[in-house]
Amino acid sequence: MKDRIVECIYAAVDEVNLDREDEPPLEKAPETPIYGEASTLDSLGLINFVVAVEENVEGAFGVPVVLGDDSALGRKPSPFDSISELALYVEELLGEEAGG
Amino acid sequence: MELGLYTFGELTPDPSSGRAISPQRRLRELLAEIELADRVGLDVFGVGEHHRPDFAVSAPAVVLAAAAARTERIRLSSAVSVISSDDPVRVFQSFATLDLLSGGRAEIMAGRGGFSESFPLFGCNIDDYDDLFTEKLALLLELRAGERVTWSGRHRPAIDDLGVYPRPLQDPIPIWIAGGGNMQSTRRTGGLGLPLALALINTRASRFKPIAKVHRRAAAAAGHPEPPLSVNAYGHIAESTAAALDDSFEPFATTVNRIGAERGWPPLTRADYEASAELDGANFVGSPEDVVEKILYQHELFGQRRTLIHFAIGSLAHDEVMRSIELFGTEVAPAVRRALGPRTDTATEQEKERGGAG
Repeated sequence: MKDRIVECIYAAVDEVNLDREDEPPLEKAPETPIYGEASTLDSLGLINFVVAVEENVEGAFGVPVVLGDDSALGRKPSPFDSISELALYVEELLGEEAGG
Repeated sequence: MELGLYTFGELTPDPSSGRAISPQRRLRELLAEIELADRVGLDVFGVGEHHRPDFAVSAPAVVLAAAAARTERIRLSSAVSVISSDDPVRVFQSFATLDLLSGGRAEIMAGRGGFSESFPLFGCNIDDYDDLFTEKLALLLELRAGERVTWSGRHRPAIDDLGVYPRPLQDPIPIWIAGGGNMQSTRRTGGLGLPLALALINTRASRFKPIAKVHRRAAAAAGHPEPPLSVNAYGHIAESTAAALDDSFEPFATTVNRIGAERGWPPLTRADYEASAELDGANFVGSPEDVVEKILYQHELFGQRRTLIHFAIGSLAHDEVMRSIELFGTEVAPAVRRALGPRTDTATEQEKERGGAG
């Protein structure tokens, strides 16, 4: 499941990079920071990315997940610290859905 | 689609004399602008709230009440009411009164406020920025939902089964939430089933597309019908693209650079301004044909039910603003309506969709 989640996230990285004409592309690597001082995404870029991941995950697993709500954004460590943290968070959400 | 405009009632220098326009003159001109917008068939006029020397309006409901007496059909909205630092009871009462005076044409656009002055003025701590808005919006929605209210919170004295009057003519009186692209607040707005007035500022319009999606998805996830979206952005319309850019650049740049200096923004260049007027630029600056094309383009991006243009930022001469409004009402609006079909009245829609919050 983890590999499919990472594929969903990398596909979202590709989508976001299409919109980043004048900026360096976001790297497809586990340690890539998604948001915060270390990231190159601005707030609209983050929303674009989050919506793309949500749609890709729903398309791949048939389950809607919400990644940009208060619980995700208030969580420590943040799911947006890196792609690997986000993958873990998505896995957790999908596990919760599967567990009812 | 509903089409309209909004203003903050700026008190910037008169371009002919270089002297600041008096608040009395600005308000007189503003009422003439609202009257003209009504006469040329535009659907909405919004008036902002600021507490600074460079703006004439700190009490939008008072200005809109004067406009209500001079207009017939146009809807009258705040743009925005800074509910974070205001008392929701007084906001509701003021707009309920406006609704009665105007025959059911009042709307509240609730916002957090883009400036800080109102917070210390009304004894609010700006560190509570988000909490103030969330709590006071909840109270405003309760006031709208029923005439007797029992409520308690952190930022206002509790209310114990008290009535709030007068009640507005519209049931419910429309409450829009103003937003600039923050993911959490967009999700909360959608989750409450509330309409979103999305301000396109500083970047390409297409970058805001996911915001509309987040708003719609949050509403659907919470079981609400799709709430309306309004796209709001600055604009100026003249006979040609070049005239629109030439007329408006200096006034726009002067104002944006004055505020930008307070906030550390880089100075606006003519090239930036021209880019903002291109098809995917945020601003509605151009000929009537340019603006029609841009509204239709944005409708493809967002599917918005309302477009509001901010007329005007800076010391654009009153006669140029009047001409811009005339072109909007007589050339742009008919062309947009021909392309998209009859307008959708969002207030009536909301009444039908009372499943939304409040």
